[in-house]
Amino acid sequence: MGRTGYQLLERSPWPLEVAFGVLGLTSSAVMFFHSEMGDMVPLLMGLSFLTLLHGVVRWWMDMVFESTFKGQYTSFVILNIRWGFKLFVLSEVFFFFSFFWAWFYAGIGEISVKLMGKWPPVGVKAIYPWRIPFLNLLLLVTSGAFSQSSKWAVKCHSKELDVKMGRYYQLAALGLLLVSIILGTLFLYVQSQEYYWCSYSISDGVFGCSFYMLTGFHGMHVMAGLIFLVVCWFRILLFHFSYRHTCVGLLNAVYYWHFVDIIWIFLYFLVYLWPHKLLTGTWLWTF
Amino acid sequence: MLNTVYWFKRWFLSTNHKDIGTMYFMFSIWSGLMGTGLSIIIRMELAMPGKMLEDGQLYNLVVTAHGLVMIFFLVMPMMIGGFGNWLIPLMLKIPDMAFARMNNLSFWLLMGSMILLLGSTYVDGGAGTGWTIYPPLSSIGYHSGRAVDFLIFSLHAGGVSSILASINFLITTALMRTGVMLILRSSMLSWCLGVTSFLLVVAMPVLAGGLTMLLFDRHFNTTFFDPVGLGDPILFIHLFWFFGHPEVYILILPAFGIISHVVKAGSSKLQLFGKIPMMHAVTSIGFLGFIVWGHHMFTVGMNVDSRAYFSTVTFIIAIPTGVKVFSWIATMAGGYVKNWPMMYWAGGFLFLFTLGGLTGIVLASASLDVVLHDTYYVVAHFHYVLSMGAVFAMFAGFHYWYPLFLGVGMNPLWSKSQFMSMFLGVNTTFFPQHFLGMSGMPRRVQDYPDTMHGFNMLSSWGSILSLMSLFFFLFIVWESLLSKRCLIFPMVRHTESEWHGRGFPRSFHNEAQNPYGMSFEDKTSDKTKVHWGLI
Repeated sequence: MGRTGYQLLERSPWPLEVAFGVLGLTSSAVMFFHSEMGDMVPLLMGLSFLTLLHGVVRWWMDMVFESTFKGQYTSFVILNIRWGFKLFVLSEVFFFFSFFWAWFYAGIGEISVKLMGKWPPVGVKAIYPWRIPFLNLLLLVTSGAFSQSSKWAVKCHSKELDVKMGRYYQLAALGLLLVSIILGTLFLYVQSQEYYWCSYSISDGVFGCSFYMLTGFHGMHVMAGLIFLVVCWFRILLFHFSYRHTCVGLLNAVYYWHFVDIIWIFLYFLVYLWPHKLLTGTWLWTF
Repeated sequence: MLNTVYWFKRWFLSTNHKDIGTMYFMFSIWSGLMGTGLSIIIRMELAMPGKMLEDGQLYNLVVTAHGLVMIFFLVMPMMIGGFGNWLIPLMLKIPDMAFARMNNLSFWLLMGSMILLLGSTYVDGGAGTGWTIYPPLSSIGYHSGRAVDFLIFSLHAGGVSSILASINFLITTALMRTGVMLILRSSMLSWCLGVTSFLLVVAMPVLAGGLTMLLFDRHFNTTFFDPVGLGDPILFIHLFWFFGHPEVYILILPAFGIISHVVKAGSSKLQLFGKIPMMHAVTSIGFLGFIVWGHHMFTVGMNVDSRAYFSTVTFIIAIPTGVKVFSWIATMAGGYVKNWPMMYWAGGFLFLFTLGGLTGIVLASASLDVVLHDTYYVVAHFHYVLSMGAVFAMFAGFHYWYPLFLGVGMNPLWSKSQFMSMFLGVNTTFFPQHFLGMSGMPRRVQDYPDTMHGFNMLSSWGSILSLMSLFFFLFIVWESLLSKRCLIFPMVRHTESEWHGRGFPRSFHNEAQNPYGMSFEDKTSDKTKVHWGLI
């Protein structure tokens, strides 16, 4: 570390492994799309995915070792990691921006002329927004609130020097985060049910593909966020965030979870409420 | 055996900004040679009327690959990965980049991206879509093989590589400055790379979204761009150019940073003229770059009011750019302009980039663009700003900092003559293309009317001259490495902080202690007794 207060990282094989995994996964995906090479493709895909997963997991394990066990996370490093993660979330926001653009382009943009202003298009039955989608909204918002309070509990647990009090805070944090995780998993289950019972599919014109692209990528981000939260849950259990250790991992995980929540709020208004026109049949505003 | 293991660990598992920067330089130079080869094939085809290549698809593939390789594998890696990685930690006086391991991931992902692109060119006839990959030509109906899929994944991998590298640069330049280094005291290269990185973080994901939609349209029965399912190809054009316009600023902003350094050091000045207005100009160019994408789409059937808006905002970008060009000229005024090869390249940049910018103003007018869109006038414009803007800046920076990176010097007399022949070559190649465009020669087409033979032949001769100049450059580099004329004292003023320290090439690690000696917390301190870092 020298005297600079920043990490001087040792050589690491994980970037190379992750790059290999990405290369393998993309090439085998192309082969899969074109039904090339028959039986080899699932094997290649599996191997590449495992390589990618292994590289990524070992990388994050290294970060845990550097922070909790080697104590290399000074306030400068923590600042870098927190803001770096926020920038990453910014890039994700713009990824969703492109799909929302497609949604608006079809709903009120050029394509809406061909649709004669009807959104959803004639023949597509919009999902009633005040049942399942609203339940999902409540699930995610509550889950976000619980994850936020688990952050508070972990901070208290970390500052607390009395072992017994610290233990209580740890249990509180575990409980709150567990509720958050369960609510998030419930969201995924409910959303999968909605996908199953929905009257339109991804192939149903521009409405179907935009709807499933938006909600599908959102679901993938929920899965990723849940995995992050689960990992943090285990780290709290293992006392990684005790004794004045900072909880950068948990802070980033909860930040990501709030981002996922906010995307859902946008989705709820634009993808569920708008096609249903808020109240049955009437527009509250005209374009 | 141990030596081999050490070599493998050093170059494949690196977390060192200098080594990663060196790898980016090698990679980008190799890719530049590949892109040049592709451009020679194009010029060979267009040297005479009639077809040289049997297969039109092959010509389209060469045109596509030339564009992608030059943009994503020459200019961006060299400027951001090469110069950025090497110089930012040296200029800021910090031990390494903020995320040294992720730095390596960005490089190796880029390697994967290149492999995927090469794969795309080899299978199923290749992707003959142009670097803009518009549907329906890139959809499954017209490119039913694996080539476009490999291309899509190549751009995905390259995109992730760029986004991660940009996050690294933004955090490094924004948060790792030492005590007295207030943000407006950052070097111009840091500032320009910071703005470039912000553009990348915001614009790249939009391309990723568009590419994902294209991929799904090809294989998962979606109809984003297919009118059969009430989709629209113009949606792709919007998404692509919302990324594409910031992308071209991403290509040129680091060049602005490099030229600022080169002009200042080459004019023996202590300060760049009007550095803070220059920084604001860079920020405004970056911001304005997000709201002008429509000027690439004037002919899709856009509403006349929208065309008027996009024209107007595009014209406005000329203002901050003018601030910069005038400031560079003012920096040179009254200084002792060194007779170094880098100043030749910088002077060439100032003149030729301005010319390219002027033809850009012509194209910014929607009325004129409707006639000139997709003609060789556009090709001439962007090659002036890229081949002569970005590439000249890369040469200038390379000549300036080569002794820092490698500790040896290139023969200056040969370098100046190489500049002359390259200057002649690129101008002979691209100036006639203005006339070709004005007389209506369309781009991305394998053949042309016989009347356009003259300028096309001239342009092709120019490309051969450029190729020979490039070979000369490679010879110059090779000779410098075998002659080993080692650098002892850098003849630049003390304001250039990357040159501080002992010995060239610079050692593996930077100083173990921040040599400004000021506390990291003291960011609001104005009690500066030092001038350094004041570029």
